[in-house]
Amino acid sequence: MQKNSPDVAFRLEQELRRGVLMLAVLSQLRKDQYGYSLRQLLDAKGMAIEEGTLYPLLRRMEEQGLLHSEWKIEDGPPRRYYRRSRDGEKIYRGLATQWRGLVATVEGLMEESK
Amino acid sequence: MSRAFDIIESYVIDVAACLPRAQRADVAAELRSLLREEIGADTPENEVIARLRAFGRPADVAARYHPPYTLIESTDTRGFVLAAVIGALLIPPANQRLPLSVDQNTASIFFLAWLGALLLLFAAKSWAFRRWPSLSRWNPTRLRDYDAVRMIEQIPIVAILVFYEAAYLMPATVIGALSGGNIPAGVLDYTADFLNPIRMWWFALFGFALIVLEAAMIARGRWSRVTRTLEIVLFLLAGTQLGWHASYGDIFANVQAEHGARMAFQLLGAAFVLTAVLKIYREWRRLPPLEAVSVAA
Repeated sequence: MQKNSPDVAFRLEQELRRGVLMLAVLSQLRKDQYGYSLRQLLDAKGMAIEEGTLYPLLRRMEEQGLLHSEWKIEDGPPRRYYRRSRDGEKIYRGLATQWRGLVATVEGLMEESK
Repeated sequence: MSRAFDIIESYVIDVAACLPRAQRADVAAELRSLLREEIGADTPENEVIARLRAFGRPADVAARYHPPYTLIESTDTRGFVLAAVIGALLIPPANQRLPLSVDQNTASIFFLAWLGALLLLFAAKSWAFRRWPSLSRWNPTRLRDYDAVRMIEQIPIVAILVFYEAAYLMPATVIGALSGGNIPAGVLDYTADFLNPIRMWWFALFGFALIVLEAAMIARGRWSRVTRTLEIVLFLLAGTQLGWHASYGDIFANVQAEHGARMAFQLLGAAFVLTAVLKIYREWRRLPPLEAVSVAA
């Protein structure tokens, strides 16, 4: 193995995670969540995302029409809450189907190479 | 406000400063609220700074919120550098001995102006591609076999080179005949210094070798790697030699003939060198033939 292989492995892992971040976020936004609570929720379910990645991602997803947001005051300071928009709902269902198909295909490929 | 919140505020201000005006207030409000909740009011100063540094440089964080546009796309860097180098080669040289020259300051201004023009041109291209993505669509170009000798091109090349060689070796006869006998006798006689073997005869030799090579290609029908390399070397040597003549002078005793000859040698030398540069670029773009690719057995 080359000297930089741990670095390459880390970068590949990051790329792999980046590809599924949006799906993970969409999956948790059926109900209202604000950035920090969503991060904790994902973290508790084993999908740790850095805050510097998650918060801008939420904004970009909103710009793409996948999320809807509003400022609310519940138990604390004003916070911006996000949830899936109607378009986001449709896209999430499509992506989830694609994801399941992809996982099954890749699993099959990996089984073959054992 | 706590010290931790002050530090967060300065971070939020720096992020917001890198964002488009329309987004600033909203992103800043959300980022402030999230960072305050993440970090807390009572966190020690050095820990707050470490957490914010881990969050990212303000410019990087702003870029995650709103991807910035680039003036020159990274994919255009090679084209930009190439255009800058070609432009630099075309700027009249700062060598004051050459008839077509500019002083050092003017040459620098020309070069900076060229770089500025290129920057604007590439920025406009980048903007147009963002605005109308279909403009950047790839289109196939007609493949051309540069190794095949085309008579319609090759015969004129040989004829032109023979003319240059003849005019160089016998200026009084060739140019005198072209002028219809209007040039008085002796005006186009080389000086004794120019007739010195180390001055005049090198270009005559390179010119003759080029004529032989180009004529041989008419008979052979195809260029090979060796003949292509030889052609580039001969063009470079001939161009350099002409540049030296233009710079050194003392070619004709007659002042007007001397000035005309130096100017002609400079332009012709530049044309020879640029031809060589173009051919070097073509070699650099050339892909190895399929049979040259090593395949594991």
